[in-house]
Order: sequence, then structure tokens, then C-alpha cells
Amino acid sequence: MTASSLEAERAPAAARRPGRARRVARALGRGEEARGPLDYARSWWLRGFAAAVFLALYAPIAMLIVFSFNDSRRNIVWQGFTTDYYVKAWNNAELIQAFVNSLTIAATSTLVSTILGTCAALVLWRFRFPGRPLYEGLTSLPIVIPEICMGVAMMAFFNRIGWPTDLGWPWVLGNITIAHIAFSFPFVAIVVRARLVGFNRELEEAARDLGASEWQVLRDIVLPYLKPGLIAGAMIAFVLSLDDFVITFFTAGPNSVTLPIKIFSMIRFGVTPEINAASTILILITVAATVVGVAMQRPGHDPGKE
Amino acid sequence: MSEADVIISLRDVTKRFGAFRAVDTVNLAIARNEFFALLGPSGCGKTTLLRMIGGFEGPSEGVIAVDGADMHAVPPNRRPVNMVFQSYAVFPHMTVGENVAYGLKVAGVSKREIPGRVADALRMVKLDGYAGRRSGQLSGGQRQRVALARALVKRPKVLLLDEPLSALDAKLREAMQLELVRLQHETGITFIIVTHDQHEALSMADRIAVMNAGRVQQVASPAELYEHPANRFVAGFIGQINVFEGELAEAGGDSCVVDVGELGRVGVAARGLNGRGGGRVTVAVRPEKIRLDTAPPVDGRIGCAGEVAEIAYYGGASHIFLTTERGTRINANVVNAGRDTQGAVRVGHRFWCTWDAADTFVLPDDPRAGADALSG
Repeated sequence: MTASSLEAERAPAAARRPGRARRVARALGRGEEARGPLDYARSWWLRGFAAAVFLALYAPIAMLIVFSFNDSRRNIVWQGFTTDYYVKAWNNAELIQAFVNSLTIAATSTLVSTILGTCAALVLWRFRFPGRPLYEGLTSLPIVIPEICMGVAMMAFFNRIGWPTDLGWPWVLGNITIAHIAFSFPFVAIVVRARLVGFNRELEEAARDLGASEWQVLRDIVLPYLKPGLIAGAMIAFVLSLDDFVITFFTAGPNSVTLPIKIFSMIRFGVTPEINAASTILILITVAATVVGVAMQRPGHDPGKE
Repeated sequence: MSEADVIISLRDVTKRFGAFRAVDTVNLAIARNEFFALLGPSGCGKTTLLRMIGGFEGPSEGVIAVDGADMHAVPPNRRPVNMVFQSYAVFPHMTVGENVAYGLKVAGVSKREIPGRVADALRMVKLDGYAGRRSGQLSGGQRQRVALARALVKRPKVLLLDEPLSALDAKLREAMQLELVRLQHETGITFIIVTHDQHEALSMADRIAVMNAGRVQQVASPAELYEHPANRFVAGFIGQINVFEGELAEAGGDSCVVDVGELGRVGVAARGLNGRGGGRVTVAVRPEKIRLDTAPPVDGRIGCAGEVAEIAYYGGASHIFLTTERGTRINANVVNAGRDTQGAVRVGHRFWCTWDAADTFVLPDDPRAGADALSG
């Protein structure tokens, strides 16, 4: 079909659909073409839907932060601005201790689960061995097991082996940390594994060819390539550990209370702005960790890009 | 080739993957200072052979020796050979300079010596001034130069190149061919290149090993391969070929007589006969040796009549396809020497395809046995 005959067919079609079609055509700025899937972002109802999603996601969080500055004990009606509850939270020794516990557990668990997860991913990627599919399945099992079951199992396990409950700080956090490592390292393994899929094996062979030993290849070629995956995995592990409630609840003792558990126990005596303040701080730390993680993977410096 | 000239020797090298023989009883001796090509269709085992020399695969049987030393159980990082990979494998998180320096660094070359050697290597591949760039900022051709510099800076005894030009566009490929030959001359390092492209192999290599189905079919210089192919596969894989079925009538000594239906009794050199004394053989001639005449052949020329069926015009030359009375297709390449010469040949015209009897060669293969499988 020639160009002119195409034009001739198109013209009456446009005449039949005035109004809306013309508006869309004008919005797209390029005549009578069918809209592609991404063009739908320009329609009003999709924008409205997106706005609704954002509202549902962020309005509660915004409310939480706003009401942390509410000058009211009951914290139901806005009474006026104050930062008193931040000061109060800061002076709440138990809250601060819970906070320190949470950060200690999260830091340790992140470090260990990143190393373990990376090792698991490397083993599963690099080697063929009997029972490998089984091993792979078992590695990711903690991701699919309901958290409540995992919590109960952890509690039973530590009881069974007679984990001492009278340890001093920070050893008293040991069982929680072990439980956190157990459920976060599979996430690291999955993220690192996904990154390894795109790895060009010739890079490894080239390094070997140039005289590098297997360990030098791992240090100089594979790990730098994995860096974005390692950071992403570590961030996931950190956030998972920091806000875990269920599993921690079953493994925590009276001397190893974490921030989520402390907040939960405070809520039983009424929702005060102090809780909002503590939650706000938790959100800030999480956001800050994410920003740092994203900044460390600056675009344009992807070590995987050839 | 004397023992001292051999840099790489392969003795009865076989590589099996399960029941499949990727490389089958290969014997090769590659000389110092040689530009050697492993040529064959994909899956013929040429890359596997190269990887075995590099140390990335171990042979199932046989011995690989580099400069007299058996390479059995020697890992790639301890072999005096370096490789340019098909994907170039330039380390993406390092700059060009760091890439080239890497091999020296892990080898423990002193920190004072490294910058000079890196600069020399980059100059050699014409990448001076690129040391600070990352691979993401380089074109395909530049990345290949990095891979070359990175391998050459190690001063290997042998440089292995795995399909180095296949990812480049046609113009760049031609320039790189000349470049590689220059580098080989300048460095005096033995180059072994793997390629499926006959033009690459013919234009660059001193000697070529043609491989098929894991076996070496023939090892010879480019001209020898083209003009005196050892068998039907080599003849068909390198260049184009016209084949006729023949019956060996007389054999013995340097020449033989073959009874070819369309050509009558033809006397040809027995060089390619491989000791055969009778039976069906293949008689062949290259398309550019054929002349289109209006009269039957005389004076030591032979040939047959045919009708032009198709003409493929390539500018500098045309490929004329003729059909004989018996239905044999003949391809004659005609140089378009004058501006109007191609007008003289039209579809439907009848010509005598004639050539010098001395340009005919005879191959030991039975023309009916698996000719299709062999014709590559």
C-alpha cells in the first residue's frame, strides 16, 4: 500500500471520531496513531489511580510523623506543635536500650548474612554437585515458611539446646541475631544469585589466563562485579532485621528487647506521641540506609556494564 | 620442521564430552613465529582445541606441549600462553590501563616497571591516551585492542585468538586483519587464531589447519589449500568449486586418466588421489579458472557446453551459473574487465565452459557418498 492510500484511509476514520480522539492526538502531538501501553500514563484515570495508590501508601506514614509532634497525651486530636515527645523518648532508658539492641542485632546479622548469602550464591552458581537442587530449595525455604512457624521453631530450638538466658550484653542478643541471620541470608543469596546470572564467564577465564589464581579472580573480578548485588542484599538484610517482630518476639528474653517489641509493649498502654516519635526515628534510619545504599550504586558506574 | 622450531605440539589429542568427540585424534606441530589458523565450520572442535591449549579444558587423551614442556595439569595461570577471548572480556570495573596492568600485577612484576610496559603495550595497539577510559566508553574495536594489549603485555610464547574479528563490522574487520599481521611481525610471537571465515584465514595465516567434525582435514599454506585441497570437504569449504563425477580409468605415477561423462577422458595430475587406484572419484575445477568461449576447447583445454541460467553481479566480477545438457551446474567467475563486458553474457545464452586441463584437480572422495554433508 502506498503512503497516499494510507492517508486516504486514515482521514475519514479521524472524521468519524472527533472530540476525544482529536484531544488525544493533540496531547500526543503526533497525529492519529494507536496509543502504546506507556502512553496510557497520560490518561486522567490512570493518574488518578496512581495518586490513590500513593495516598494509601504514604498518608498513614505522614500522619504518624505529623502526630509525633502533637502536644497531647491521648494523641487522637491535634492539640498543637511540640517536640517534647522526642525529648521524652530520648530520656526513656528502656526505649533507648531497645533501640541500641535493634541496631546491634541488625548490624551483626547484616554482616554475617551478607557473607553467608554470597557464599551460598557462589556455590550454587559455580559448582555442580549431587543434591544441588535440594540444597538450593532448602536455602530459600526460610523465605516461604510462614514467619510465625519460624518464630515458634526458633523458640523451640533454643529451648531444646538449652541456650543460656543469663548472658550479659551483647551476648544476650546472640539467639535473636542467629535467628535473624537464618531468615535474612536467603534473601542475600537470591539477590547475589540474580546478579551472577549476568556474569560473563570469559571475564573469569581472562583473569586466570593473565595469571590470577582462583582466589585472586574472586577478589579482583567476581566481587567487584557483585558489588551492587552485595549492597542491595545487605540493605534488605538490614531492614529485615531492624523491623522484624514475629521471630524476634519468640526468641527475645526480658533482657533482649528490640525496638519493634518495645513499641508493641508501649502501645498496650495507649498510643502516645512518644511511640510516634520512636517510629519516626526508625523510619528515618531506614530511609537513610536506603539512600546510602542507592548512592553507593551510582548509575553510570555499574561495574557490570561492559 | 625441526624439533627446536616447534613451539606447540599436539599428539593424538582427543576431547570427549560424553560420547561426543569434539576433538578427535589431532596431531599438529606449530612453529615459532608462525601465524597459524584453525579454520572450520561451527562445532568442528576448533575452539575446544584452542581452549585446551589455553588450559581451560583438559584433553581426554593425548599430549599438549608448549615449548617442549608437557602442559598436563598446568592451570591456565601458569601457562606461557595468553588468550584474546571472543567477547574480549575487558574487565568492566577497571580502566583500560588497569586492565592491561592486571596481568603484570598478579604476576608480581615490580611496581616501577608496570607503567612503562603498559604504555608500550597501549602504543603497540594504537590506544595511547586511552589508559584512563573504562570499557563502557570504548567501541568494539577499541575493546578488542585492549584485550590484545592485555595479552601482549605478558610477552607470551603463544597468543591465542578466539574468533577475534567476528564481532566487528566488515570495514573494521579488514583493517584489524592487517593490524594483527603487523602485530605478529612486530612481536615475533606465535599467533594461533580460530576462525570460521575462510577469507580471514587465507589473508592472515602462514599456515591453516582445516577442521571438520573434530578432525584435522588438511594442514597447509593458504595457496596450497586452495589449489591442492586434500579432499572434498577442504575443496568445498575454501572457495567455490565445480565438481564432476568420474571413474578412474588409469592410475599410476604422477598423472592419471579419469573418465568424466561430460568432459570425456581427462588426464590430470594424480597428486590429490591419495593412493587410490580405481573406482569413482571427484573431478573439480575452481570457478575463476573457467573461461566462457564460443568454440569448443583446444590446445590442452577441456570443457563442456552449457546454457546461462543465472547471473549474480558483484561489481568487479560476475558469477555466471550455467546448466549443462546433463543437468550439472557450473559456476564460472568472470572479471568485468571493461565497463560493458557483462552485456555480452545474458540468461539463455549458450557458451563453452573451458579451462586449462592442468587446473583440474582430482579428489579421492566418491562423489555420491555424503557429498551434501561434506560440501559445507
